[in-house]
Amino acid sequence: MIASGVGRIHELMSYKEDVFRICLGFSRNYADAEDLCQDAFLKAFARAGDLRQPGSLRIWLLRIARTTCLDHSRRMRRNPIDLAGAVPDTAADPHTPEAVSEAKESLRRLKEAVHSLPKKQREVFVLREYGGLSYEDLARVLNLRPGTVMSRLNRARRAITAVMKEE
Amino acid sequence: MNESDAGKHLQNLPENVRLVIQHETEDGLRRFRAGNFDSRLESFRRSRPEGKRFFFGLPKWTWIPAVGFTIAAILVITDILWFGRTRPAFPPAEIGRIDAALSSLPGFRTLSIPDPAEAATKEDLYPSAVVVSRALAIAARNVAAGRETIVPQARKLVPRYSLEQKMKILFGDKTIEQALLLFKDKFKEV
Repeated sequence: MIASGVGRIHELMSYKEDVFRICLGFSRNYADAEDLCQDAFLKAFARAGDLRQPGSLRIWLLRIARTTCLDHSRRMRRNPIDLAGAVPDTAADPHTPEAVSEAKESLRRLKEAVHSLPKKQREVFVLREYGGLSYEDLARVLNLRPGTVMSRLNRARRAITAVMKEE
Repeated sequence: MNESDAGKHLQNLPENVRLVIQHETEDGLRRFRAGNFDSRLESFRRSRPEGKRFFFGLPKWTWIPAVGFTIAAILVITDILWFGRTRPAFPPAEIGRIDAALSSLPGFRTLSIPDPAEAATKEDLYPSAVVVSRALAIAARNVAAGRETIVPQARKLVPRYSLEQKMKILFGDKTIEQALLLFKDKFKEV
C-alpha cells in the first residue's frame, strides 16, 4: 500500500513539467506559475487515494492543474496583468535593449490576448499550445468530443492571431 | 513531452505567436529545472497533515457525523425545553362559562330569527344584526318563491373592482379626507 503510494507520487512528479507549462500558460508570470504548479501537486497528493483508475494518472493530474489554474484566474480576474518576472531572459536577442523591449511587448500582448479569450477557448488554447496535449488528451481532460476541441482551438487561434496582428 | 517534440504542436500558429510562446515556455522551464521545486514541494507536503482535508477545522470524514450529531443535540435540547412543559388542562367549569357568554351575544343569538318584523321587536338586537337577519329573510323568501336573490340589472350596475382597485379608491378617499381636514379652518369652501 505504502509502496504503491510512493510509486504513485513518483509517477505524479514525472509529469511536473507538463503541469508547469500549463500553469505558465494560464498564469501571468513565472512566479504565479510555480505557485500554481505547487498547489496542483498538493491537491493531487491529497486526493491520490481517491483515484480509481491508476492508468489515467496523467489525465487526472492535468485536470487538477486545469481546475487549479481556472480557480486562480477567477480570483485574479479584476487584478491588472503583472508581467514582472514574466519576460524570458533568453528573448530573441538578449544583447540589444530593443530586442528585449520588443520581446516584453510581444509577451504582454500575448498574455492579454490569452486572458481576453472566453474561458472555454482559453483552456483549450493553453492546454494545447503551452501544455502540448494531443487532441485526444485534450478531449479526455476536458470531457469533450475531439471535434469540439478542434473547433474551439481554431476559434482561439484565430482570436489570438487577430489580436497579435492588429497591435 | 520530449525535447525533440517541443514546439511541434505550435506549428499551426503564426510565426510571431509561436516564437513568443516557445521563448516563454523554454525560459520558464529552464528556471523551473534550475529551482528546487521538488524539495520545496516535499517540505510543504510534510508541513500539512497527510491525507486530511479540512472542513471548518474538521477532517472531511468527520463533518457529516458532526452535522448529524449537532442536529440530534438540537432536537434533544428542544425536547427538554419545550416538550416537558405541558399546558394545564382547561377546567370544565370555565368551558361552560365561555359557552354561556358566547351564547348570550345578541347578534349571533338572533340571526336565526326568520322574520325581520319579529326580529325588530327584540330589544337586545343590534342594528347590524337586524340588517343581516332582514337580508337573510328576504333571500329565503325569494328562494322559496323561485326568484333570483339578486336582481340581474342590479348586478350589472355594480362595478366589479379588483382588490388593488378597491385599495386605490379607499386610499384616494382617505387622502382627500385628510387634505380637507388640513384646510378645514382656512377656506370657507372646504
